[in-house]
Parts: sequence; structure tokens; C-alpha cells
Amino acid sequence: MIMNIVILLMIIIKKLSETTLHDHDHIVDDDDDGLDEEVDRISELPEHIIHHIMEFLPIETKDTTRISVVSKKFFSCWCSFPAMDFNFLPEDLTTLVINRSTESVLKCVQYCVNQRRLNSNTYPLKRLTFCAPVHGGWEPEMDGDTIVVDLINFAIRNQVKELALLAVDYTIQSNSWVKLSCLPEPVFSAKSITILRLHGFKLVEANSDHHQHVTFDFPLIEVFDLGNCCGITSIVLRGAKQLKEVELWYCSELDKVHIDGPTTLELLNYGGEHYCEIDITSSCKRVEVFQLSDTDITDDKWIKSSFFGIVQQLRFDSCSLPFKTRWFLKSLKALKLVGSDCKVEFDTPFLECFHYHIGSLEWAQIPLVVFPHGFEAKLDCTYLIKAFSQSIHRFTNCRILTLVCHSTEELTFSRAVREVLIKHPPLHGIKHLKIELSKLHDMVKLIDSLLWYAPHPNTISIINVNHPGGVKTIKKFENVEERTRLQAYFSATYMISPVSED
Amino acid sequence: MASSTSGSSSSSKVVKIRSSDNENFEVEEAAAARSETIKKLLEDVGDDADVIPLPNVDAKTLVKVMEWCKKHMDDVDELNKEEMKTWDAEFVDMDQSCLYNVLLAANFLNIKELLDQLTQKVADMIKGKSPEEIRATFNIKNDFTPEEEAEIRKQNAWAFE
Repeated sequence: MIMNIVILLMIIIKKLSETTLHDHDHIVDDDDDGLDEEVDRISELPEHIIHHIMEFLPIETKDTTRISVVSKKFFSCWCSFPAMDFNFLPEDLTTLVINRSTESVLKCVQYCVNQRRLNSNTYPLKRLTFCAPVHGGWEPEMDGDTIVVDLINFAIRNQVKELALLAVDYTIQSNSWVKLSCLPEPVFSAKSITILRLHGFKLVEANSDHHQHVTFDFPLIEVFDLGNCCGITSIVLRGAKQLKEVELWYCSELDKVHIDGPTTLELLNYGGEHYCEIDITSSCKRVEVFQLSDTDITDDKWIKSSFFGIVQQLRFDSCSLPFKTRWFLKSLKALKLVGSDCKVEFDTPFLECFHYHIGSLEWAQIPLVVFPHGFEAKLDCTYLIKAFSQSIHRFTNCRILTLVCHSTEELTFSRAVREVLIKHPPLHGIKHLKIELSKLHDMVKLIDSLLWYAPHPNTISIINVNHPGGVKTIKKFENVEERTRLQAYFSATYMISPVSED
Repeated sequence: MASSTSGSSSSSKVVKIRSSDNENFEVEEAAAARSETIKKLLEDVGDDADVIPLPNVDAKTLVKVMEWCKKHMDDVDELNKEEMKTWDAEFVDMDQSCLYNVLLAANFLNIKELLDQLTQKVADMIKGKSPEEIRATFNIKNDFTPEEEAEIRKQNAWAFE
């Protein structure tokens, strides 16, 4: 009886599944009708949806321009697309082979602007990017200035928001600036601009090679980025209430910048050897990050500069601070030194975080930092950590200390050094020690080495940078008995018995 | 308590929508409200709403769109994000005719996230292709004369290298 019911059920289920399968097939048949593959549906889409699709195409692949040749519909969409992106850099940047004359670059720009004018395009432009390797300036037969200025004017008339003009030069020589001599007046006061990036131009007024002062009046500007530009000695950014980021890279003649408007600046990046007076304190109460790159801080103009008092995070990258003086930074919360030669002492009563990254052995000196108890420090002294075994004792009161090294061997001391260390372990006060390394051979040996530095840790965390997810934290050191036992174990293994690696 | 209230309200509150080919559907309000257009209509008519007509969307497309809305009805937590990504990727993997219908419906119904997913999908089909390949992929007829095409290629030569 039961058997029969089971068989009956199985038959019903089988039939059911057959019908659904059949039904499904039927639907699929209905769907296809053999039409789908031949009909052009994309061209029926309204223009704004095609623009929406184009926005998802990456700028650097030139797809948005390539699309112009597909059909008349797409040509028209290309003409009305609210972004103009010219990227004349070779796709493979490593080759550095420029097979394009500035003449052809300029003709492309001219054609594109003309087509937009012919199509009486008055869409507000979201973006104009012009990125070209222009070595040695424009070719004499082309009036490059006029064409580029025309492009800028066109963009500004169409209320462009993001304007990036990057004349890229791999070998900057003084005679190779692209002269944007008649940088049009409207640029200086464009109401719509939110992002402005100008790289590699000589910004001077027409018929004048005099160094000059420029006032920029961009009420909506958020990012102001000037790189490798010459011809101006001072800038004023006026009424820039929304300003968030300022980047000034290697503008060799620029020596004065006045920024008025923002109350908080998120980022200020300055790159260049020479001193530049940055005056921002008239409106600004806080600079979140200030980074100096390749700067020689050889006199005390920087140090006396008033605006350091409102900086919260200060970073030095490949800078030189070669003379001994004490620098009081009252608001500083984080200090980072990367590959910088620093003899300056920092007096930072509110420091929370200190990060030191060594460049070369020549400069192997951790600067003296006066800081409160309970801050965090990170010392990246890959390959050279032993050279610092004397100066790291200053970090013994850190809340958390991170040491970065390459492999366990760098941390292992010889017997002679150990005999000194046992009396004066450099990090005797450290409770939380973190180690970042890329090669971990022997965990026991590593812990043993660390206990010579920091004999009383509560936790030791070991982070393998190649597997950042796998952080190993050892917490057993909290237990005094356990610690004694561990120390006994390590001394038995490594101190009393002959040490093989010595 | 709060969760049980919201649970019961979302399961009980149902709205009726009608496709262009006069098919009626009952959909949870929370799902239907993913469409800004429907949400606005619901706010305007209040509780007196009988059936909301959607004259631009046929039944087959509407089923597809509502399938997406139902899936995206609740906020996604971190754990389910990966799963949702896979689901979305499978969802947009449909034949072209269907893709455009859903795309137009998402545009009309104003469902931004769905519209972004679908336009991203079409962009992925264009990315890195030559004009010939783009035409072949979408069955686009080249309506330029050879001279016109050559001229555009010449003027925009930098993009065709």
C-alpha cells in the first residue's frame, strides 16, 4: 500500500516537473522569436541614457571618443556628451615614446570644439581634461596658445566644473614650458569651476615675460592644483569658501600664496625645494593634513610660519631639516617623517601618533620628539633596526609601538649585546608591541628577540605584511607566572646554551 | 518591537500596479517604493489608490523590474553584500531586447541604482571594442558614407591608435 503511494507520488512529481520544464521552454521560445539578434535597440535609447552609459566608460581608454564613428546617432551623442576628455598620452606609459606632434594634438582639439559649435551644443560641461605630452612647447607653425585658450573659453562658456590641463613633460627643462601666455582672464574668475588643475604651463600675460601676481576668484572651487607651472610669483585665492584641497607642486618661482575663504582645509600639499610663504590663517582655523615634499627647510622661515599652529597632521617626505632647533607645534596630532634628514626637535604636547620611516643609513637618526604619554608610534627601520637600538628607548612610554622590519634576523642580537640589554632593555615600559614583517621563519625566535627589547609586554602582535589579514596576537604575557616560565624557557634555550647564530 | 511593527506593515501593505498591456500586479509597498515615480504617485493619491497605471512598462518587463525591487527592498548588511553582488550580476545578464526594456523602465520608474547597474552593463559591452565590434555587438547600422567615416577617424586619430 505505502509502496504504491510512493510510486504514485513519484509519477506525479515527474509529470509536474515535465510540465514546468515544458512551460519554461515554451516561454523561452516565445521570447526569442528569432528577432532579438538582428534588432538595433541601443540606438533607440534616448540621448541622456546613452550619455549615462558613456559616463561608465573609463576616461583613459578613449572609448568615449571611439564611439563617435559608430553611427550618426553616436556621433551626435559624442558631440553632446557633457565631458571633453583629451588624452594624448600613450596607453603604455612605460615606453615613453611620443609619436605624436603637438600639431596633431591641437588639430584634434580644434575639430572637437568646432563640431560642438556646429551642433550648437550648449550643455553645461561637467569636465574638460586635456592631457598631452608636450615636449619643447608647441611647434612654431601652430598657434597653440590660441587653440588651447579657445578650448578653455569654450569650456568656461559652457559652465565647466572640472578643468584639468596637464602638459606632461618627462624631462622638465627651463625652455620646455608650454607657454599659455594669454591664459584668458575668465579663468581667473570662472564662477562654475570646482576643480582646477594646471600642470606644465608658463602662465604669463600676453606680451609680458615679467613675473607676476595672479588673483583667482573661484567661488565654488574645492580643489586647486598647480604643478610645474612657472611665470607667477604670487597667487591669491579669493573667496574660496568651499576649498578642500590645495596642491602646489614644483612651481619654482612661486614664493607667496594667500588663501582666503575656507575655515577648514583638508589637505595642503607642497612640493619643491624653496621656501614659499603660505598665508591661510586669515579665515582658516584648521588644516587637517599638511605635507611637504622634497623641501629644504634650511632657514627658520618655515618654522616661524604662523600657520603651522593650526596644522593637525604634518608629513615630511624626502625633506631636509638639517639644523638643530626646537619646533613647538601646539595643535599637532600626527607627525610623519619619510626618508627625511631631520635634526629638528619637535615639541608636540598633544601628539597622538608618530611615524618614522627611514630613508638611508646616512640620515639614520630618529629626531627627538617631546610628546605626552600614551601616544602611538610606528618606526619603519627595515634592515637597520639594530642601528636604532639606542634611540628607540625614547619610545618606551608609547601606548602602542609598531616596529617594521624585513625578517626576524634583523631583530636578533649577538650574545655580547644581550648581556648589556639584560640590564637596560630599551623598551622596558612597553605594554603593546606590534611587529610588521614580510618574512617570518621562526615564531619562537622572534618572540625571544622581542623580549630582549621589551621584557614586560601585555601583548605582542605579529603582522605579516604579505598576509595582512592574519594578525597573530599573543596575550599570555599578562600572566606573571606564565611570563616567568616563558622567560625561563627562552633563557634556557637561547641564553645559557650556546647560540647557534652567533 | 520596532522590527515586528515594520515587518507586519511591510508584509500587509500591498499596492496594485497595472502594466501597459493591462495586467495587474500586487506588490509590497516597500518594494514598489524603490521606484521614485511610484513613490511619488503613492504620496499624491494617498490611501485612496486603487490601481496605479504604468503606461510605459509592459507586463514582462514589470515582472523583471519588481523582481529587482523586491530583492533590494531592505538594506543590505555587510555579510550579504557579496551575495547581493552576485545576484545583481546574474540579474543584468539578460538578452539585449530585455536589457533595453528594463533599462527604459528603470529610467521611467526612476530607480537610480537599477539604472546604474544596467548602464554599467552596457558600458562593459562597449569597453575596449573597436567601432566595428561595437556595431556587431549591438546590430548598429553604419549610416556614414565611407568618406564621412574616414574624416572623423582622421580628425580623432588619437583615439584609434
